[in-house]
Amino acid sequence: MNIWQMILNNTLNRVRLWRWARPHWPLRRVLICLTGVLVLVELCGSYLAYRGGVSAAVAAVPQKARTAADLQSANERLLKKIAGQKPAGEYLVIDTARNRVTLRKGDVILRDMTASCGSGNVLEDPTSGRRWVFDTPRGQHRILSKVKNPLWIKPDWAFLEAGEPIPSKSAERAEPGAMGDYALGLGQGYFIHGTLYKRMLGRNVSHGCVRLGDEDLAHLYRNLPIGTRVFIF
Amino acid sequence: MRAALYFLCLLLNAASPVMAGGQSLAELQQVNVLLQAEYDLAKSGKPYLVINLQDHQLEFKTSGLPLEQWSIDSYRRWGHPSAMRPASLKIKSALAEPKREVQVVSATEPSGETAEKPFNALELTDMPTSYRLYLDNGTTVTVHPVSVSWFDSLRSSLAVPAWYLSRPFISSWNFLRGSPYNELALAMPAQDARRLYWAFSEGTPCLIRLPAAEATASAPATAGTNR
Repeated sequence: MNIWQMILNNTLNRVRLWRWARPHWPLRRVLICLTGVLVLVELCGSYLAYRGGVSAAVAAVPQKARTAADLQSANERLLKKIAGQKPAGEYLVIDTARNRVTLRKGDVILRDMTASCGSGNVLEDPTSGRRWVFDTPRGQHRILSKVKNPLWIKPDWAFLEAGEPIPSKSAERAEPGAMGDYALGLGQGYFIHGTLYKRMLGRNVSHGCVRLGDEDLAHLYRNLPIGTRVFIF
Repeated sequence: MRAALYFLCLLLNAASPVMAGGQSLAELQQVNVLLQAEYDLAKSGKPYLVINLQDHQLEFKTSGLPLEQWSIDSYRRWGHPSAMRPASLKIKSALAEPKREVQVVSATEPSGETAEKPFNALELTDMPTSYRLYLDNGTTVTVHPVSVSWFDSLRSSLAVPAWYLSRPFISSWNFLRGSPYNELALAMPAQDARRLYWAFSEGTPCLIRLPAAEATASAPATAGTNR
C-alpha cells in the first residue's frame, strides 16, 4: 500500500457511511459509483453551462473589427441618440401601482399628484359574451382632447355593474358632474378626469380612467397642451 | 529568475484586454450592443426593462426615459454570459399569483342591486415577492425578497450552496432536452420586487448588462460594432 492509498483510506475511514459499509464491499462499490456519477454530472453541468460560444447578440452584429476608440465614440453617439428620444417639453408619468401622477420636464418633477387608477377587476356578461377588464392602459399615450365640464356618457358596463337595465336612448346615458370639472382624453375612451370619490384617491378603484383631485386636474388642464406625452406603467 | 519574471509580465500584458478610458474592448462592445438595442427600443416608444448588474439596479424605461428605478441587493448568475442577450418577457410565474376579481352579471336580468359592494381591487400589496420571469431567449430570472429576519438569513445562506450544487444537474438535464439553461437570481427589497412584478408585463423587452469582468469573459475573438 503506497502513501496515497493510506491517505485515502484514512480520509474515507473518517466518514461514518464508509465505515458502516466496510463489511459490505458491493455496497462500497455502489457508493463509489454513485459519488463518481454525482461528481461527473456536476462537472458536465458546469462545463455545459459555461462553455464558450460567440454571443448571439454580438454574432448578429456585422463583424467589422474596430478599435476601442471607435467603439467609445460609437457608444457616445448612441447615448446622444437615445437622449434625443426623450420628450422635449413637459410630460406626464402615471404610476398605476402607486397611484401617482407626476408632471415632469426633463429629469425634474414639477408636480406630484395622487390619483386612482384601474382596479384590474373583470366584469362578464355571459348572455352577450362580453367581457370588460378594468385596467389602465399602459404604454405611451398623448393628450388628444381637453374638455371643460365633461358629460359622462355611461357605457353598458356601468349599467350592468349597477344592476340596472341598459337604456335604449342615448340621452338616458348622460350623467353630468361625475367626471369633475375637466377631462383630458387619452383615446379609446380613456380620460384623466376628476372624481366624486376623493377619499378613494390613492387606491386602485377606477374602471381604467385616471382620477385626480380637483386642484391637480385644473393645473393640468390649464398647463398642458394637446399632444403632451403621457407615459403609463 | 529575472528572465522568468519578465516573461511572466509579458504574458500578463498580452492576456489583459485592450483598455480605453478604463473600459476593456469587450466591455465597450457589450455596451455597444446594449445601446444599439436600447436605441431601437427607445425609437419604438415601447416600455422596456434594463437589468443593470454592473450598478445593481433595475430601470424601467420608455423612449430612453427612466420611469422607475429599483435596486438589486445581490444576484447570482448561472450560464454563459453570452446567453444574457436582449429578450422579451414570455411569462411570469409565482406560487401565489394575484387573482383578478370576476363579477358575472346579466344584461337580460338586471339584479336591481344598489347596495354598496365591498371594495376589492388588484393592488400592489397583492403582488408576489418571490416569482420567476421566463424570457424568450431561454433565460429564467428568479426574484426573491431580501432576508430581513435571522430565520430568512439562515435559510438563504443555506440556499446558496444548494443553488450552486443543483444548477449543474438542471444544466445537464436541459442539455439532454436540447435547450441550454441560464438563470439569473435577483434578491430585491420586497416592495421593489412587487413593483417589478406589477410593471414588467408579458411581451415587454428586457436588456441585461453584465459587470465588466463577466462581459470580458463573454468577449468574442474579434470586436464588432454596427454604429
